[in-house]
Amino acid sequence: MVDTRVTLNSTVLDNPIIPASGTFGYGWEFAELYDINCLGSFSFKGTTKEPRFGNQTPRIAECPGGMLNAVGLQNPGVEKVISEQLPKLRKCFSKKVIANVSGFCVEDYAYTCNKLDSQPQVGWFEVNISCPNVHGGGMSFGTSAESAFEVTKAVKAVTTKPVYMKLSPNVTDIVNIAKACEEAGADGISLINTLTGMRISLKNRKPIIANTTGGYSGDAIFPVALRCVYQVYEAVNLPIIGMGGISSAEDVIEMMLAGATAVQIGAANLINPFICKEIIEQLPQTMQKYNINSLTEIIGGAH
Amino acid sequence: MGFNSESEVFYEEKFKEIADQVFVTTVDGSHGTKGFVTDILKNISYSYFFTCGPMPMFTAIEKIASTSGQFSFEERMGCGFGACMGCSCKTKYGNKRICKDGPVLEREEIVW
Repeated sequence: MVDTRVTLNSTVLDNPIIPASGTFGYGWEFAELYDINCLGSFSFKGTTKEPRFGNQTPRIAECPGGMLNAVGLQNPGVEKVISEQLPKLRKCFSKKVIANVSGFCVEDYAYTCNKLDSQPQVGWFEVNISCPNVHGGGMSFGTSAESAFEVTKAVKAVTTKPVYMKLSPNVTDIVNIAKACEEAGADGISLINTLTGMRISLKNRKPIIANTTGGYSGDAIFPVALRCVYQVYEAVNLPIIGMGGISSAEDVIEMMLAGATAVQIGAANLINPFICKEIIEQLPQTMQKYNINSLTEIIGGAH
Repeated sequence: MGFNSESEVFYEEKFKEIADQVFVTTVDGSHGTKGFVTDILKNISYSYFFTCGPMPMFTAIEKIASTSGQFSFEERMGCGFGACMGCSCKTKYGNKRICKDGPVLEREEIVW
């Protein structure tokens, strides 16, 4: 028997498979399709202090090897997430969930995380300082070491649960940002968010996405994500949740060899809603094929 | 039913099987009445309507329609099963997803 368990901070996950924020709603939507208790955990839809409709449509464009999205953090706001979404989730998911939080100023991040900290279902925070699709917030915090430090510090000051900072690849030096988060007291690093991209319609000669640019995700970005995880693993002494283009059990193992303790599956959920379940089922035989007895042993194995 | 030209016309016979009257318009006038569906709609009487097509047609219908009706929306979707929020729209009863809560919306709930 192979051992698929990994430990994220002090919590043992049955496996390292975690659906990524924004591709899995608040979980219960997918519970209509399969029993989501098979997951290691999942990261819920990016939540902000106030409710947000998000960007105008079109929000989606197709690309080779993936897709562009510019949803713009549509969510009902933290109050309603606590009063409506989490109770609904409790009925179909018995494990701890990752609370993905975004904001437009440092105080927003702290406010929202503080509200969610008292929720027993929340096991970790994933602080999104890397959303490329909102203006005056999101990614602007994750593109400088100073502001990344500031947000991390503010969130750590008002929370008791492990805080993961979700980083953007749209920077000159992701290692520098990761180090700033570590210095500010982060408990882990989550990477990568989407790569900023765009498409133009040949028919009307205008950008396809209403927001002009969107975040590129899917198979195509896997090598970029792998490189980022590899580099950050070398530089910081924190657990890493690796994501970006993962769509198979082989990809999971490769990402863990680069340095990830757990992984997230994003765009692949939108192509095949059963992909996380299928990867979990395929993990044991894929581990056997590559002579892996315990997933924990291979973390960072490529270094 | 509205089309650009005769070569694009389809389902006219199928509609005739289920309807008392079928009106066809083409933009270039090569088949049926020259113009848009709204050129017909404003001259006929009806008690309810169902429509599907592009947004410019919807906004034109919204301006001249005289009864309640239903619009079947199109939108670019990421997943098609309600998870990604790629196809959201605002309605008088809150945000809806075209893929899961739609694609058909009542005229009265749509925010134009």
